[in-house]
Amino acid sequence: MRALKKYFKLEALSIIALFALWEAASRLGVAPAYLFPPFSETLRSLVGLAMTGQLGLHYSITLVRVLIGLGMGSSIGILVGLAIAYSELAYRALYPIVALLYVVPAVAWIPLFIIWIGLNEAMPIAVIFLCSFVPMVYTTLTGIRSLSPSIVRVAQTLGARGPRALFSVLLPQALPSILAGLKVEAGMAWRTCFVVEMVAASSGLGLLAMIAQSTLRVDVILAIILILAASNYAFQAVIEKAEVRLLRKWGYVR
Amino acid sequence: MPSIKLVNISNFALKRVNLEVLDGELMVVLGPSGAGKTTLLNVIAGLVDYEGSVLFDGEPVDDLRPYERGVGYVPQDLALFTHLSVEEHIAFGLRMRGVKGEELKRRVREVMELLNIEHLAHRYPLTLSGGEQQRVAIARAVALRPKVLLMDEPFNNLDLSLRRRLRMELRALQKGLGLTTIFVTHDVAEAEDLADRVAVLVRGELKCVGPFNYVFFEHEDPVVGEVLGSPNVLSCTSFKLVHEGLAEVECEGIKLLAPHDEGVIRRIAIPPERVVLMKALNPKSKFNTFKGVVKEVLKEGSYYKIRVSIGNVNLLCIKSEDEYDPSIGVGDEVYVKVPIKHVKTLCTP
Repeated sequence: MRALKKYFKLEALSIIALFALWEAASRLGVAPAYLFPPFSETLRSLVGLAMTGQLGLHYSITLVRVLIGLGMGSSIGILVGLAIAYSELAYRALYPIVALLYVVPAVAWIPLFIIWIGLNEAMPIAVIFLCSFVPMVYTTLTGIRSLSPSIVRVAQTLGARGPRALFSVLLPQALPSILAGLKVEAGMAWRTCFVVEMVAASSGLGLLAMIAQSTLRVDVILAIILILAASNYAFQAVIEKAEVRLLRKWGYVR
Repeated sequence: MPSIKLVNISNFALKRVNLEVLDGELMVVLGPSGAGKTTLLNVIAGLVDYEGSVLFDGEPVDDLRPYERGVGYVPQDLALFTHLSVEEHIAFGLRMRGVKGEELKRRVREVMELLNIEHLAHRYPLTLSGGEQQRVAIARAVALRPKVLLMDEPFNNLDLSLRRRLRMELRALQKGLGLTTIFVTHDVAEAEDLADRVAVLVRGELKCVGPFNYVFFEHEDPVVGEVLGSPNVLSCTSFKLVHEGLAEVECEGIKLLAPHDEGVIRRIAIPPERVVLMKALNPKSKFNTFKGVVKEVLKEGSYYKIRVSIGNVNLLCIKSEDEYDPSIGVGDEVYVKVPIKHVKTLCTP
């Protein structure tokens, strides 16, 4: 416990040191302040932005997009992964397609989706959905396929068959790898959402950053990046907490 | 009537296997890796395709699915469910069959008591020791009161003393419940400790079936001999009790001392890896020491197989690279010592 506290202190210290370095470098005039504002200035802009209500509005739009896209994409992805993993035929037929889609970055679909879906609220969500869906199918599939075949055999002799075997044995057994995958995909969802908003949305943090860029507001851009980093970090921390709690309960980690 | 009967079972790993297992019997299927042992269990459980017929109590079960056959399965890697506690493991199969409420609780408790794992009820598999995990896997398999318990080398990854203890526990449990059991292993000592009868399986073919001593001492097939560790089996022509627990026998022309329990020793078996080879006679070596001539030295992998002729007897010795004295070659005179305690005996009353 003491070691853990020490570790956290060190973690916090390194982040504080980074901000301090940033502040000092800027104050010492490494670059003109309008190109490289100090940390304190960036924080002030952040508060200012929040006061106008702009930040809250655009942040909540981005958050909702991430939540819907990630939530739907990953949950449907897990279900599809389970279904494919369950049937040998489905696995053989569909795995190559999943593996192929897995290597295509989600942002590559943006131009296509602009044409197919149009510039509306469904478009960014569709991109984030795909960004979470394909990797979660892949992760679930590989997670289940890596289980010992005797797990399935024993479950069968005990009477677990069909969807029951899927949900009572295979899904929970693959949960550690699914959660590890979800942690990565939560980060990807934020990144992808930001990119979509920069390129093709009329709202959201990405748009805010593009507007700031057109008015040369480096402080605002940095403030938005800080928000993005913090949100992404928070998402991953929540999933990691659930993961660690589960793994500890099951005895994977002491 | 046999409890389990296999009739002409063939598939990718098995060739026309016929086997009968009696009610309450513990049948050990002994064979090297790749012999088809696991496949044989999977056939009985209905987990793989096969030709031929499997009968339970005289009724064919070929059209029944694994869960309808009523088998308990303990695989080699145990396949414990990491997300379920010990208690939930035992309840798993019962729940799948619709057992609920008080009855579920009672039956789970009964099985835990049977295997002495009540104190582990709320623990998860990864927090258990190897021996505890074994007990949980067995508990899960017997909870449904299966028609037959199928065990696939479950004690493989444990240390020797624990293996011995678990064998005794399994034997007691199996006899106590009268549970027909098929236990697969490649370990001859395990077969000897556990089996009512042994079936030797090599490359998908069943070579011989019988009580351990019968298979061990009476087999004539060299392939079976290899599975059993190529023991030097000799027939005895005379028998004399020398001392309590010690007898002198004459077997195929050589006289030696052997441990004695009761009855008359008819055959002896000398494990080839226990035979001691010496270039010169060690004056300390008084008993069971013979002069012989090396007839053959064969290197097989990291082992040497040395055949020494002593009178009419050709004795096989197996030595590892470290143990083998390379100056011993074909035609050399050597002294052979057979340690008394390693001589196995077959007796008749």
